[in-house]
Amino acid sequence: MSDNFDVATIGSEYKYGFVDEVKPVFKAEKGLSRRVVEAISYHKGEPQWMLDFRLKALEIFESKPMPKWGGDLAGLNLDEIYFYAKPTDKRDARSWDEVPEEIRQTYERLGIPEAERKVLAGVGAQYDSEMVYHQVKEELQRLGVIFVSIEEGLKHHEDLFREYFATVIPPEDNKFAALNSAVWSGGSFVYVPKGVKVDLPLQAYFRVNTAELGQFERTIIVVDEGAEMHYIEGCTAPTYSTDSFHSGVIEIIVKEGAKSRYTTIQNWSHNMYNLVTQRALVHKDAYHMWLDGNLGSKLTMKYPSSYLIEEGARSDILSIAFAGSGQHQDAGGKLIFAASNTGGSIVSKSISKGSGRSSYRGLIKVYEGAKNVKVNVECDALLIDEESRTDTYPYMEIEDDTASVGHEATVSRLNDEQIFYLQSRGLPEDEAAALIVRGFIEPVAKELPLEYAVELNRLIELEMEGSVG
Amino acid sequence: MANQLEIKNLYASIEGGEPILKGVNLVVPKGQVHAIMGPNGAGKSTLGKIIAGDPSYTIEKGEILVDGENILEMEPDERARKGLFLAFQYPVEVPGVTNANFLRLALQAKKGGEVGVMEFYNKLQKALEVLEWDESILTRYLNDGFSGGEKKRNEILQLMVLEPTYAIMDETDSGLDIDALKVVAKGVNAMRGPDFGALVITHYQRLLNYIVPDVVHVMVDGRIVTSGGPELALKLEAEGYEWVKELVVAGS
Amino acid sequence: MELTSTLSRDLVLEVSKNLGEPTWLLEQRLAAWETFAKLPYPTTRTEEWKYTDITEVPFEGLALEQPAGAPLRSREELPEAVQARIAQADLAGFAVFVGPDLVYAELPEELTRQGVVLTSLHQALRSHPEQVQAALFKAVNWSDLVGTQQNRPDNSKLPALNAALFTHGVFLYVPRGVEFSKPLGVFKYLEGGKLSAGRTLVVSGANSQAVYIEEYVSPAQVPASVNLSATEIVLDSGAKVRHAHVQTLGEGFYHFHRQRAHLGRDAALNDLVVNMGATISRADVQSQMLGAGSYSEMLGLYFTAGNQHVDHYTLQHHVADHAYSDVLYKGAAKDQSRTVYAGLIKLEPGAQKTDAYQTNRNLLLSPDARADSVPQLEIGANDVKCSHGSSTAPVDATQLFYLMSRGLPRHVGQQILVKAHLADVLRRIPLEALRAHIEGIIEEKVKL
Repeated sequence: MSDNFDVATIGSEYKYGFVDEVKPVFKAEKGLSRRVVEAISYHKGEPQWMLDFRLKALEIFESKPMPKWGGDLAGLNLDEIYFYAKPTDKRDARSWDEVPEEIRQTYERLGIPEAERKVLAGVGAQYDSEMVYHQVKEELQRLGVIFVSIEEGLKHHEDLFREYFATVIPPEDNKFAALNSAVWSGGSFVYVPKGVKVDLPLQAYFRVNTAELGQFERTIIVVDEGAEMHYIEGCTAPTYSTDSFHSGVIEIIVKEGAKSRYTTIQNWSHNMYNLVTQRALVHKDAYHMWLDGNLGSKLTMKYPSSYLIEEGARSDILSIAFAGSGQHQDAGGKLIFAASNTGGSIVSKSISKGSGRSSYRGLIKVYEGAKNVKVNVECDALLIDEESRTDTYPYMEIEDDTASVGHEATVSRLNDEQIFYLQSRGLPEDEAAALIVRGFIEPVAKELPLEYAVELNRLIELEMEGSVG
Repeated sequence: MANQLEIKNLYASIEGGEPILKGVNLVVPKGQVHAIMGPNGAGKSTLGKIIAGDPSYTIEKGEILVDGENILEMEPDERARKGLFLAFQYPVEVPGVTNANFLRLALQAKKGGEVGVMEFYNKLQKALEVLEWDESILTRYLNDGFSGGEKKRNEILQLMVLEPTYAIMDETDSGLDIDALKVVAKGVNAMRGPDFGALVITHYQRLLNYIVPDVVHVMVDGRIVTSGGPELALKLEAEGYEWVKELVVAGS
Repeated sequence: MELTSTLSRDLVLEVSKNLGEPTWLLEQRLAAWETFAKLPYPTTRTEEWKYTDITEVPFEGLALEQPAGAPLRSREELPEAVQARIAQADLAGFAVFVGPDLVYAELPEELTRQGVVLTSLHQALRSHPEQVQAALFKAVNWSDLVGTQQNRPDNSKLPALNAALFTHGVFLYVPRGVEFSKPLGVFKYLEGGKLSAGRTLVVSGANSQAVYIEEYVSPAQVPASVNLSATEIVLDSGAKVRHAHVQTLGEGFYHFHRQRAHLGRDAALNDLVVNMGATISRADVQSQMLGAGSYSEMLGLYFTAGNQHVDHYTLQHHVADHAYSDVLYKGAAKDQSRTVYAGLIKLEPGAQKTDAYQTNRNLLLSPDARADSVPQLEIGANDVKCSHGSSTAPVDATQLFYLMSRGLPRHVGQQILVKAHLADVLRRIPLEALRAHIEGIIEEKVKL
């Protein structure tokens, strides 16, 4: 046992598992139906076209079979899920004082207001089905940056909203995109005008408190020509004995010469099904990075995608997955090259521990006529225990003879020699193991904002406690 | 006995395999540098790894005493905290972990608490200076992509920062050119003093020109067969190992 | 337009009766037929067939090629293409099938004396009934699928059809401890225009050593024809088998091959698949490491031109511990042709100390060529070394420039680099005559 280890934290591995004493002001009946969809639309006071869109999407959802690939969805019973829970009547409070006391306390506990003051350009906080808080620094507002809840986006910027909504991910895309299109609630609407560079990250923080709730946030991000932006999404939930469900849709448009980055640190409680569709359209000479960290949830199925649709576009996908006992992280990424002189990379690092399973699933597609595409994929899996498991499913579809596509993957276990070496320098075995694991994910982790990197390190230390020897 | 590293009648084998050490007896008092020489396969490196606690070996019998305390049941990290240090023959690469971070963690582990930034930095500066090394080495990953010489030099850097009581240098000279060898020796010599003992394992006499030992032991077939002063190393260099092998035959 | 199927349960009964088969075999055929009749054909929605569309293949529009009871021929009467191959194949012994009929066999006295058998499966049903019954359908059948969790039953459709309606087969038996290192070969000459279905059963006893080559040959152009082949290789403890499947069928052929080896303790298989011919060809090559310490090298070579489509699937299924498997499949595609490689390394829990590797390298030589590559891992044990790699790229521009700067015209430089790309696999084949043959095919194709 290590001396400088905080013994008190052991056993409470998931430190965000507390339950808040918050009762929703409105909760739709359990299960999914036309009535539920209409109720959601009614509560949001939406225009008719949106209700029509939702109902059409519901039909599409019902017509599509459940995916048979990926994770085991047998335990996901949609009849037992609440599809909408409104925590408060006040949406998009501009000050934390306007957020109901109990909810504000939760975010205090999660450290959000403090982070907002120190390191963020703006914060959005979603509690159950609605964004309870949204604020962006004043100077950015003056520059025309829009950072509001998706509902406010629809209400106050309807033209801009309609121009992009469901254009990157139509409801037909997949069953869960259709589901989200029918019942979406919450999420952000972000617009960064031409040439505006937002230096600090914008952060959205998602919290599910109600048991058996489905959270279906919908986010649209438009980074206009030459603009720059970094958006961070964080997620936590209480640990209930029953399962919860999160199924977001994130649409990003990166216009000519723009740069954007979308970071997810998903740390849902281990009773969460997390099925997310996120996709970026990357235009001429623009750049988009997905940094996808999957640490929590029972099952995650999430493959951030970039479509490089104009010349010179580039995109990188960095992925970290940590699957502990009972968890399945089915993550990865897709890069679709539809224009010449485009390029990108996927780097995936996964760790499986106990009976945990991490799967990499990816697609590299180069369309005929997309000349001089260069893309490289690197997947490394680390297996801690005998019953740990990892899979790699990379698809490469290459239709152009000027493309240069590489994929390499390795599977390794914790290396005894490395552990002995570090031990011989005085580090206890657990710490040595944690250090090696941290080193393993370092190439991806170094891209994380500092406070998240610290959080990730802490988590790994906890997870590695008692895992060797 | 306090103030010495003592190996008593040590028998050991590779896990599930042949015996390698067949009754090693050896004492390295604090303040002295001892060398172990011997032909390939004599068990020299095995001895070094066993002292450090390499789990791939099985101890059949015997004792290893650090200042009178038997360490055989201790984990490698406990041994390190007791003041032992093995400079590996083949230092291990640990990608993603910077040299600086690793050194600080190891120093903290040894001291059992936080190490002040300035204290740490000063120690590093001093060591780097002796080793004629650039600070950029600190931000590189631990041995990752290092050349053979850089790896050996990095072992000495760790030695100097962690300041063990007893160091075992396992073929630290192998694969080094003469300039690198001098630098490495300079590092070890900087450590010499009344509170430091070392056991230098080498196949060649060359290293001992730069790290002059107080005592030279010759190991053959898992045993120390003879010991003497620095002149013994010169004799081995000149005459080879044949005559000591005969000692073994005669003795057995 | 819905055509009446040429296939039926009655046809199964007829084939079995004509071949004078024992009841157990008929029962197996009928069970296979039930499965075939029940399953849909694989479509591009079937995971393993994602990139190979077989809707145009007339499985049920062609007559089944049945044995004509053709008599044995003299060596001079064999088809010319086969004679030419025999002349340069440097074989210890060989058998020749024309369609489903075994027309020629030659096995050295020395091997016969040691109990080595190379004959038709139906001959073996009479001479070695126990050995055949114990092994047939054990490795390749109509129900036992191992693969990713996405694997669907329709992937058994064609093996079921083969099992129900195969009209001929090869039986190679190598008794315990018997060793030979000069290859035995079987040539299958197909005239085309029919549905052909044959099987190969290789049974190698403990500590035996054998080398076996199966080649598929036809005229260069044939009307639409289907060939279904199934190869089962059973390796007892310590057995060593080198096996090659070489397909140079003509344009018009649709060739579907399923192969699986069962490797016992310390058994070693060196496998090679060469797909150069046919309009669409698919080889599904599997090794199951059932015994500790077993070893499977799986090599593949393909080079497509025109409108060819070639699809390879490999499975390295590690059940036992301390086993080793290594896949290297390399190919090139020119014109409008397509190549597909998919493979899976699957480690069951308990397959500790496994070393498993998988590499696929593709060269695209024209703007209309296409390569799909899906190298997959499913790893259920932690103390293992597993890695895979895949790359698809054009001929290396720097290398080409270097060659051209030495005075070689561009097309010659390209030809050299294509050959160099494929040579990686070739140099791992120690059979000189076979290597020369494959080099010849590549040489011809590269200049087309």
